[in-house]
Amino acid sequence: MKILAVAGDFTHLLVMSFRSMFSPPWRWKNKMAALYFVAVESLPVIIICVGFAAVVTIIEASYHMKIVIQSDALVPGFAAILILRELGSVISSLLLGSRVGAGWAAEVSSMKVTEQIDALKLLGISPIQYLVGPKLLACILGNIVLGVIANIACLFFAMLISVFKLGYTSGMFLTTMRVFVNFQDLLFAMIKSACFGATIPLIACFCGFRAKSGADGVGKATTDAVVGISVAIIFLDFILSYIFSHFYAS
Amino acid sequence: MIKYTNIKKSFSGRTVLNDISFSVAEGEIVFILGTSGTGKSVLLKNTVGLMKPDSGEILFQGTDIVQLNEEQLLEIRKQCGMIFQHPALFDSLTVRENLAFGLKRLKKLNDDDIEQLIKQSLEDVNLSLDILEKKPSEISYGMQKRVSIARTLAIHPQVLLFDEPTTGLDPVTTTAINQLIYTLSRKHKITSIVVSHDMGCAIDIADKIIVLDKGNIIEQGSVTEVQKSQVPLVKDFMLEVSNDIS
Repeated sequence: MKILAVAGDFTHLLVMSFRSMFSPPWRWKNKMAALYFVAVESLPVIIICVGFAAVVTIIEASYHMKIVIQSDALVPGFAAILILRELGSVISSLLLGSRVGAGWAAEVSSMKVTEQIDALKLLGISPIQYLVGPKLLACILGNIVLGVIANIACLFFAMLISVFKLGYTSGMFLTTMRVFVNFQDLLFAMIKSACFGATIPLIACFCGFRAKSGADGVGKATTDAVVGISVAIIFLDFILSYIFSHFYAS
Repeated sequence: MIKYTNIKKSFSGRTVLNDISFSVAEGEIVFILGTSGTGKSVLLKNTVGLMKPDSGEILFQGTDIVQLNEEQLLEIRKQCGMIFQHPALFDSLTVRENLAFGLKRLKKLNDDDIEQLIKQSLEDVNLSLDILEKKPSEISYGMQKRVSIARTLAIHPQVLLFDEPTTGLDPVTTTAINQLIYTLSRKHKITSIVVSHDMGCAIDIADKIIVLDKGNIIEQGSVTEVQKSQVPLVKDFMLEVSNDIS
C-alpha cells in the first residue's frame, strides 16, 4: 500500500514536471542557471573520468583478446561500440547523478526542512514548476550535450592509448571504428542521455520533497537520491539497450 | 471569519489534533498555546491548506477550505499570510527579490508599485533599506525573521498566521514583533492567529487564548477567563509568567 502511494506520488511529480516545462511562467533565468550547473560545471570531471574509463577499456580488451584470439586488431572497433553504446552515456550520467543529483536533493530537502517549500505554496507558486521544471529541462538538454562530448572524449582517449600503447595509427583506429559503428549508435546514445538526464532531477527532487526534518533528514534524502538515481540509470540502461538491440539486429 | 469544526488529524496512528472546534472573529488576535508537539503548527498549516485534516471542516469566510484543490486554495492564500517557525526566505534570492517574489505572483503589480510596497513593508518591521541587496545568509536571524514578516505584510493579507514568531529572538526584537502583531490587528483590522509558548505575550495582546494539550483543547476563552483557569497545565503557564515578572 505504501509502495503504491510512493509510486503515485512519483507519477504525479513526473507528469507535473513535464507539464511545467511547456507552460508559463518560463523562468529562463532559473533554467539557464540550472543548465550552467549541469553542463558547464560538470564537464571537467566527466571528461577526466570517461577518458580514464576509455583507457582502461582499451588496455583490458587488448590484453584479453591477445590471450584468446592472439590478436587485438578488433580492439578499436569493439571499444568504439562499447563507448558509444554504453560507456559515454552511462558513465557520464552516473557522474552527473552523483554530482548534480546530490546537490539538488540537498537543496530541495533543506528547503523542505526550513519551510521554504510551504512558503512557495503560500505565495501561489507551484514548487514543482519553480524547482523541478527548470532542472528537468536543463538536465535533459545538458546531459545530451554532455553525452556527445563524453563520447567524443572517450573515443579520443581510446585513440590516444591505441596509438601510444597498442601501436596503431590514428588512421587505422578511425577506419576500424567506422566499420563497427554508425550514426544510429550516436543517436541511441543521445536518447539514452536524455532519459538518464530526466531521471536525475526527478529522483533528486522527489527525495528532497519527502525529506524528514533535521540535518539527518537532509542527509538521508541526499543519500536516497544518489542511490536511487544510480539504480534507475542502470535499470533504464538495461531497458533501453534491450529495446535498441532490436534495431541493431535489423 | 474562520471557524474550525471537529478537526481531527493523525500521523502514523498518532493523533495530533483531536476534535478541535473554535472560531476566530474578524480583527481578533487569537493565541494558541501549548507544549511542544501538541499540534499547534499542524493546526495552522491546516488553516491554509498546507495540510488536510483527516476529518472536520475549516470555514474561511463561509468556504470550507478542506474541500478546495490547490488552484482554489490560491484565492484563500491571497488573503492569508503565514509567518513560519523558520524565516523561510529563499536563500538564492536577495532580500528585495524575496519581498517582490509573492507580489509579482499574487498581486500582478508593476515594478514601481512593487518597489513602493517593498519599502513600506520593510519600514513596517523597522528594517532599513540597505539590506535590500543582501542575501538572507548575510543578515542576522532576527532580521531574517522580520524580512519574513515584511514579505507576508507586503501582500496585505486579511489574516496573519504566526507560527512561533519570536522563537530564537532577543527580548527587544520579541517585544517589537509582539507590538507589531498588536498594531496590525488594531490599526489595519488584520485577524491574527499566533502559535506560541509565550503566555506573557498572550496576556498582553490576545483577545482570545486557546490552550492545547495532546491534541485537545483544554482551555479557551478571553485573557481574564484563562487567567482564572484551574486546569493544571494552564496554571503552570501562568506560574511561568509570574516567575518571569518577579
